[in-house]
Order: sequence, then structure tokens, then C-alpha cells
Amino acid sequence: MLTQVLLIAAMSSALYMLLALGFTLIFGILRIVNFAHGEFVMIGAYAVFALTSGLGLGYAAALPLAALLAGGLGLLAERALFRRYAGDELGGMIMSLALAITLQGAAAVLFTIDQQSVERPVTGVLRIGDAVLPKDQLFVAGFALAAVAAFHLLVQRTRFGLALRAVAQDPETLRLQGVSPRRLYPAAFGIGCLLAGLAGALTAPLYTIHPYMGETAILKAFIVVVLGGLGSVPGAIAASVLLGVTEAAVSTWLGVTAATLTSFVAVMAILLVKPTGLGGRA
Amino acid sequence: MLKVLRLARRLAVGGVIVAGALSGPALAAETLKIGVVGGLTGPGAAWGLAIDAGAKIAAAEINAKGGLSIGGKPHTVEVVSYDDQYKAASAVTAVNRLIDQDEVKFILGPIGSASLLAIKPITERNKVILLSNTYTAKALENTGYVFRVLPTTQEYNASFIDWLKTNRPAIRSVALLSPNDETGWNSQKVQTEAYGKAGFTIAAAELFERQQTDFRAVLTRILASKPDAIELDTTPPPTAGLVVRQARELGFSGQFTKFGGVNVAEIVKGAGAENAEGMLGYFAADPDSKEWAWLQTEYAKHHPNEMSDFTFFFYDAAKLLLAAIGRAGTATDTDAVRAQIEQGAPFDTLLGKAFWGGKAAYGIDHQLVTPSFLGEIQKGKGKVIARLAAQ
Amino acid sequence: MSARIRSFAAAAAGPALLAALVLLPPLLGRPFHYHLGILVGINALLALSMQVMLRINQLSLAQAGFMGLGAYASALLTRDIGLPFAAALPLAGLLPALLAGALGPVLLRVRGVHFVLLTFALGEVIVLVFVEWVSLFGGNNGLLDIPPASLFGTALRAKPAFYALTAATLLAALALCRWMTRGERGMIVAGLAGNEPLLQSLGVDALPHRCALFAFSAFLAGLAGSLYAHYFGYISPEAFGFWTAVNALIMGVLGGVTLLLGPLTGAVLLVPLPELFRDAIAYQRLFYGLALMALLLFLPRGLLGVLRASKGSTP
Repeated sequence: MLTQVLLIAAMSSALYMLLALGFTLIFGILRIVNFAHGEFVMIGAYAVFALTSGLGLGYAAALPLAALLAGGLGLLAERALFRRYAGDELGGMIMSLALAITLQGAAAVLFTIDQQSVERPVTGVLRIGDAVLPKDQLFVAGFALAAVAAFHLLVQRTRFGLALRAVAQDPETLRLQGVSPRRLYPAAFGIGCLLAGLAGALTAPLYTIHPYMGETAILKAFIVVVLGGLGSVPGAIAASVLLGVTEAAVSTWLGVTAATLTSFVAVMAILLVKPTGLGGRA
Repeated sequence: MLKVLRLARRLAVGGVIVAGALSGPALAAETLKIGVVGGLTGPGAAWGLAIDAGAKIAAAEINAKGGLSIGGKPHTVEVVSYDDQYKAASAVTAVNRLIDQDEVKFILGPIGSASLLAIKPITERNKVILLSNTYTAKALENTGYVFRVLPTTQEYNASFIDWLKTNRPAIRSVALLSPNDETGWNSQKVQTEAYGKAGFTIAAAELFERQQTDFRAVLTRILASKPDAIELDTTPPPTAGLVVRQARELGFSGQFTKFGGVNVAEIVKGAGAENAEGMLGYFAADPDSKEWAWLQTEYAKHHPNEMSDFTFFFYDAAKLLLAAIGRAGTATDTDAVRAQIEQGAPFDTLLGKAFWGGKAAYGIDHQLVTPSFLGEIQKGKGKVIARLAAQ
Repeated sequence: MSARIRSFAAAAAGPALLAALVLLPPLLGRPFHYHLGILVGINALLALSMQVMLRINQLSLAQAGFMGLGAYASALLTRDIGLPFAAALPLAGLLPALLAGALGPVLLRVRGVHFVLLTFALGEVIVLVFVEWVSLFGGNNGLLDIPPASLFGTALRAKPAFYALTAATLLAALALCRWMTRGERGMIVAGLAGNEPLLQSLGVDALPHRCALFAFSAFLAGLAGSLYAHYFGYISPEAFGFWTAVNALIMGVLGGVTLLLGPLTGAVLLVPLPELFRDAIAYQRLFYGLALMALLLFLPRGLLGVLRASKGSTP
């Protein structure tokens, strides 16, 4: 049973990282808590559904397209809605709530409220001792980790990544050097939404999809990002593992409500003791 | 100044719109209004839309024949539906509006236990007849005007479990999984008693939260108790599909039963046909029957989504209500209509003969008892393998 | 228009608007309008409690949780302990106020977006405790058979009577909020929002004032909860979750965040909104979202904010 719990924890952690990265990136650059992040996850999932069931595309083709679509819509949202709220944390948050409601409503109109499912590209299980590891979950976790690694390289090894880090750490200095942080907003918001869309597209075959699925996703992203420190990428990664392990353990031995309660109490404790989270900066 | 005037005009126009919406349409001379309250949007809307469509199909049918004759005068039947989003407060608003603005005396719905418990005092006080379906045992406690138009596990599961004992003798222990609320607590209690009485061992009895999608942890715990079968009870069908898939992936190879109600399409969608293969469950109706095909065609005229089998119950409920109103010859005296509803049994329904029961369990004969169907999921389709008479 | 008339109109506009809104249900006259009026009043109280915190630039998403505490307290005190409603109502306000007051010194050290997230988590924790502690709070099933409100031995079962109670509570709350934002206290509140160092240099210790405001906001939310519990006669945890807080926030923003009558105006506009969309159920959520976005884009200061801008004075 212990092996099984650890496997569940590992699979969840990888997914939580992907969910949290985009959320924390958008906050780090635009200072916007994007409550519509979960809805971009939902968009990724529905895009895969529409591309595979509707247009007959293979999953391998639908996956990147769905992520790109979510990213593209993110770009649009930044331009039309969020740009004006840079620095206005409250205003941006309220706008993101309005966007979340709108996207849920649009999905319900376009796809009805029925739950839909996407055929799984990978099936079968691996056996490790007396524990079982479904291959589709392994695929999702592996892909998620690869995406996290790619994002890390982008941030650490490119000029664009350098600019991102500079904005997140010290927008004033950057402005003094004649670079406007605003120029990075579309890219940051787009990449953040692309990562969310990728998470949705990856998990679409695992669970059923419906217009309100984003609410679960945002809760996980929220817990991870607060624990890790808003805007901190390494913090989010560490917090994902922490959440994955505690959640698997507490919900196996005490039940799922107890697990959620534990997460929120941990969130409050972290915010009070070290508001900048495990990862450091505010 | 001009700006103020322009703004005032805009506000005035808005005010007129709001006031118009609040005052409601005038009551046409020969119209009978039937109210519907149910979750029409959001998760679980399939059931709420079943109420809405069931009532509308029955209304269209009678309107096509020139309307319902009440005291010799033909009445057009109009269905007024409100969304309660499964929230008690919204249900109270909907019922207030139905009773006060629309002057409705007959309501179908709601589905949610919380909604029903919140509106029951209001409908009882106003002598409004409520044809409802909620699994809580409290639905029919101390009521005069509430009828439950759909059987719950209490009504049929003993015969289902007997069937299981006789026909699948290899199954000796059962694990139960139910939603963590009034519906689940109640149905799990009923199931535990019935399985226990039939001589099964209860290996585990677990609850989950309705919004949950990841069941690996709770399933790990259930599988550790090594059950022969997992009974999914009143788990909503789409969720049940996810549970089935995740349990199979965790290596469970035993039997699935779902005696708390099955929606084959939704379960197969979530579980995949190969994982759902062989699941036994309570079917409200036979998917291969001509009645199902007919109702599905009618349903499609009202809503684009997949029809829930609850549509049968609410179509029949609306019909028996309209017939009772016709016989009573009044659309205002609900005591007379109630007497006609009670005395009208047995009814011919799409499902066969149905009658009122429930005195022993709830203290009042306001529980509709219908024939029930034991079905199996075979190759992604529902097949009825036994028809159990109403008892 | 002479300056005197204009200033008189400005001074009269607020009370006139308030009177018009409060008298709306009796003028329309049907029980359903009283029902809507009661819902508007309860929601406006919650939105007002949120506004108290917004006045010092802190958004608290725990207000729905505080409302839940008030509702459960009031229900349990009257139903199980047999306290009269007249005693339960103030207690339902005081209990969350005590909690907020006790947590305040710790919570209020956190600012800005972190405070929002912290109170969001607190709200979720409160609701999850209602769900988990089944023996006391009834779990997901909630509490049934809550006795109706009663004053001086008379049960306020009729809607107009309960509406009068709601309206009186709301008016008292508005009066308290107005008192709070006038004179020296008003300057302190404004200082807490904008320039805390200035306050400190004047020898005012900011934290106790912030705590007092937080407790006051929880008090208002608790009153809203008590009214809710006794009006519906039934409560369950989901009524006090995240979206309840968000809806109250949106009401405040819609009416105008900084204006005393903003929350009430927002509630008057939003509570009956589903009535307008009832013929387009499938599109309801989409339209609601689009309307909100349009409002945020084109009237960022809220409806009353626009009125004020065009008149150049405070309603």
C-alpha cells in the first residue's frame, strides 16, 4: 500500500507542477492572480476533444495544437482585458473572475454541460511489486516533467528568459535601463496560458471533461503557488512534491476532505509565517 | 447636465426592463401553468433537464389534442421552469416566484435533497403539490402535498440483491462507495442493511465529495479490503465512470454493481467500454424498448444533450398530474387534485403499471412504485437481463 | 443651475436613492418582491462587510465564511439552545467578530494579494469545518428546521415583516459605516488605506484600528448570516463558499467600491438578474460574465461612480 501511495504522489506532483507554473509565471510578471487559469486548462481539454472527436485528428497532433490554442487565447485576453490592470492586483483579479465565468458559460453553450471523454492514447499498466502504475498516468507525468524542464531551460538559458527573470525580480531597474516590462506581458501571459492548456490537454484522456472542470485545477494551482511563493518557479516545484505527497497520504488514510483541509491550513500557516512561501521572494 | 439626462434616460429604460421582468406576463384566460424547479445548468444538469423535458413533452402532447379539459373548458398547458443550480437558496427563490408571480399550484422537481428540504415548508404552507425526486428519507416525512415520483434504493434494492445472491454466488463480500451528503448517507445505510440481511460481508463503506475526480487514494483503501464486488450506490453516473476506470487501473478485476441508478452512456463515457463491461445496475427503463426510442426523439426537440432515463419518471408524473387535474375539474383546489392523484392508482406508465406505496417506510402512501429493470453493460450498451415487478 | 441648488441636490441624492431602494418592494407590493428585497438586503450586508475592508485597501474573501459562522451560530443557538432570536442575532454578529478580532493581529500583518489569498484559505477552512464536523454542523447536509425570526414574542413569518427586519438591519449597518467614515475616525480609515506612515507619525497605532475594522466587517457578515438562516430555515455549507464571496465582491465593484451606497446598488442590480435571463438558461452564465467584463472595461468605477463623476459630488 505504501508503494502505491508513493506512486500516486509522484504522478500527482508532476501534474501539479505543470498546473502551477503558468499561474506563478503570470503573477511573477504581470502581478495578476489569474482566477481564470483553470478555465485555460479547460480550454486545452476541450480543444483536444474537438480536434480528436470532431476533426478526427490523432492525439499526437491534437496535444500541441490544443496547448497553442490556449496560449493564443491567452495572448488575446492579455491584449483585450488584462493589460490595463498591470500593477493593479485587485482590478486584475476581479477581471479574471469575470473571464472565468464567461469562459465557463461559453464552454457550456458550445459543448453542452454533458461530460465528455477523450480516447486514451496509451493504455495498460506496469506492475511494481504489489503496486500498479497505469501507463497513461506515467505518460502524463513524464510529459509534464519534460515541459517543466523545457520551461526551466527557457528561463535560465535564453535572453528572453533573462528578461523574464529581471521583470519578476526588479521591474524598476529594468525600466531604468530603457526596457519596458510591458513588452513582456503578452509573451508571459501567453506562455502561462499555454502551460495551462497543455495540462488540460494532457489530462483530458485521464478524466472526463466538463465546463466547470477548471475549478478543481485552479485550487491545486493555487495551493501549490502559495506554498511555493507567488512568482517563484523553484518554490512551485518543491511545493508540488509536498502537496502530492501529503494529499496522497492524508486522503488514503483519513479521507479527501481531511486532505483538502490540511492543504488550506498549510497555506494559511505559510502565508503567516513566511508570506513569500518556501521559494523566497515576494 | 446633458450627460446626467442621458444617464437618467438609460437608467429609466433599464428600470422599465427590470420592472417588466418582475411583474411577469399576465395570466391568459385558459392557461394552466405547471412549474419546474431543478438544476438546469452546471454539473448534474442532465437530471434537471429531464424534469423540464418530461413536463414539456407531456404538455405538448396534451396541447396537440386541443388542451386539457378542466371543468369542460380546454386549457393550454404551459411549463414554467426555473434553475436552482442545486442550491437551496436558489430553489427557495424559484418556488417563491412560481407560487407568487406565476401563480402555480403544481411543481415538478427538484432533484437535490437540500433544495427539497428548503422549499418543502413553503410548498406545504401554500398547499402546492410537489412531484419530486430526492433520495432523502426526510422527503416524505410529515408531508401532505409532496409525492415522490421515482423509486429509491429503499423500494427495489432487496430484490436486486436477492437476484445477485442467486445468480452470482461467487460474490461474498461487497465494498460500498457513496457521495458524502444526505443522498449518499441515506442510500449507503439502506444498501448496507440490505446486503447484510442477504448474508454478504461489507468489506468497506466509503464516502467521497461530489466534486472529486481523483479516486485513487480512496480506491487504494477499498482494494486493500479485498472485496469481490464494488457497489457504486448513488454515485452520479459520470463520476461512477471515473471510479470504474481508476479501480480497473489499480488492478481491481471483480464485479461492479450500481443499484443506485445507472446512466449507461455517461458511465461508459467515463470508464471506457472495456472497463464498464459486465457492470450490473438498476435501470429506470429498457434502452432497447420502443418507449425509450420514442421518448428520446421527443427529448431531442427540447434539449441537445443525451437524455437521462429520469425523463421517463417526469414525463409520467406530468401526465398523471394533468389527468388528476382533469378529473378533479379544478386547477385551484389542490386538495381535490391531491385526492385524485392518490386515488388514480394504478397508473399506466411508459414503464408499465405503477401505484402508490411507502406507508410502511415513510408513513404516507406518496411513493410511486414502478417496475424496475436489472441491467448489465455489454459492449458499451445497456441490456436488460431481468424485469422485476413493482412490489 | 445655481450652486446652492446643486449642493442641495447633491446632499439629498444619497438619502433619496436609499429611500427609493428601500421602498421599492412595498411599492411593487407582491410577496415575491419582498422576497427579492430580503435577498437584496442580505447580499448588500455581505457586500457592505466586504467594503469595510476594501476601504482600507484589503480584500477579504473570508467574509462568506464569517457569514456562515453567523448563520450556523444563530441556527444552533435558537434551535438547540432555545435562545430567542433577539439575542441570537447580535451574538451571530459578535461570534465572527471575536474570531476576526482574535485572528486580526496575525492575519493583518499580511498585505495586498497575500492577504486576499490568506482570507481565501480561511474562508475555505471555515466551510470545510462545517463539512467535516458532522455531529455539530450536519456536514454537507446542513441544518434543518431553523425556527423563524421572532421579535417581542411575534414570529416574523410573513415576508413584509421579515423585509422590515432586514431593511432595518441594513439601515443600521449603513449608519454605522457612515459614522465610521466621518470626522476623525474617517481620517484614520482613509489614512489606513493610503498613508499609514503618516498615521504612525501622528502617533496613531495602525494595527488596533485595522483589527477593529476587520472585526466590524465580520460582525456585519455574521448579521447577514443570521438573517439568511432564519429566513430560509435551512442552511448548508455550500451557501458560504468562494462564489458567495465573489458575488458580494462583484456587487460592491458594480455599485462603486468606495461609495457607501455602492454595495446596496450592486445588490439591487445583481440579485434579480437571473430573473432577466430566465428565458435563456443555457446562456445565463455566458451573458453574466460578458456583462461583468463590459462593466469592468467601460465603467471601472461602478454605476454610482459614474453618477458621482457627472455630478461632481458624493451621493
